[in-house]
Formats: sequence, structure tokens, C-alpha cells
Amino acid sequence: MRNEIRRLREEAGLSQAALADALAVSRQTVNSLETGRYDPSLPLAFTIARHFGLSIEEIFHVDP
Amino acid sequence: MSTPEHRRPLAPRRAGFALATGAVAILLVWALIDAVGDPDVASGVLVGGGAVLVVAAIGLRRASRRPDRTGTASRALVGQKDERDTAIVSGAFTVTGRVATIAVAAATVAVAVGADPLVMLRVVTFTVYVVLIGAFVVLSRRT
Repeated sequence: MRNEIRRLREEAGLSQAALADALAVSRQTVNSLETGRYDPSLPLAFTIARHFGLSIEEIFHVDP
Repeated sequence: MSTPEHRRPLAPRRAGFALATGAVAILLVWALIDAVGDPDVASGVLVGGGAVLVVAAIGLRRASRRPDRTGTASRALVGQKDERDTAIVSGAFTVTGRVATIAVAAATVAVAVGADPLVMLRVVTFTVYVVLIGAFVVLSRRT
């Protein structure tokens, strides 16, 4: 699954650590999410979407 | 619906209590094994258990001072794991459980055909710990 987390984070001027703090996860988890090594749970996906003011579909995309 | 699982650091008093409880448990097991006349194994329990306690104390200290620089193991050890950490720990235990099932079956067969039960018990125990650590490392890197 692809996602727009890195782009959104950089547009928001946030470091991985700052985003991790906002999402209450570790920095390593944010890094894993951005690199696609880890797919978030539905609650975390909602938290991420809420943080950026977008819908889940606008952030996460299923690989073709 | 909440995402964060256990990001709240362990309170110093609670962490101290956990470490003290671990130390007491290790001493009890050491005393028990020593009392039944196996001082070598008792010493092993003392050294192994002490090492785990030291690692736990270091993890606790790192997690409380520099939470961003700690790894999955430290966070899991001190109860600060997030959902990815939980997935890694669960995955490692899943792999370990599968291997343990096979290892126990193999050890049972080995004992049935004449292998020393105590040796096989130690082999299975060693195998389980090695697989747990290996699975944890691999999953941490891949996840």
C-alpha cells in the first residue's frame, strides 16, 4: 500500500519525530509508514487522516 | 477509538517495583535450585536473570531519557510500545511458538529413541530463545 505521509509531513514542515509525537507513535513507526514497510491499523490511519485534515483515501492508496 | 497504546512512560516507582520484583523472583529460583543441589544451574539462573535485569534497567533509563532513540525492544521492555512494536513482538512470538511446537515434537521423538531428556530440554530451551531473538531482529528490520 502506498501513502502520502512523507509528502504531507514535509509540506507541513514537520520532522518525523514531531509527527510521531503528534500521532503518539515512535519515530521508527513514522519512518516505516513512509517507506511502506508497515501498514497502519485502521485507528492509526484515521488518526493520520485527522491530523492532516484529509480522508484516508486521500492518503493511502492500494498498489495497482 | 484510540491509536496510541502505551506511550505513557513507566512511572519511576512502578519501574522500580517491576525491577525489584524481577530481582526477588530470580533470587527465589536461584535459592530453590541451589537447595536441590544443582549449584551450577543456580549460578546460571543468577547470571542470566541478572543480565536480563541489567538490560531492562538500561532500556528503562534510555526510554525515559531519550524515547525517540530507543528501539522496539526497549520500548516493549518498559511498556511504551506502539502498534508497530506490538506487531513485531507478536510476530516474533508467533514464529517462536511454531518453532517450539516442532522442536518439542522432535525432542520427544529423540528422547523416545534414547536421547538424554535433560539435554533435549536444554536444546529446546536454547532453540526457543535463539529463534525468539532472531525473529525479533528480522521483523524489526523488515517492518
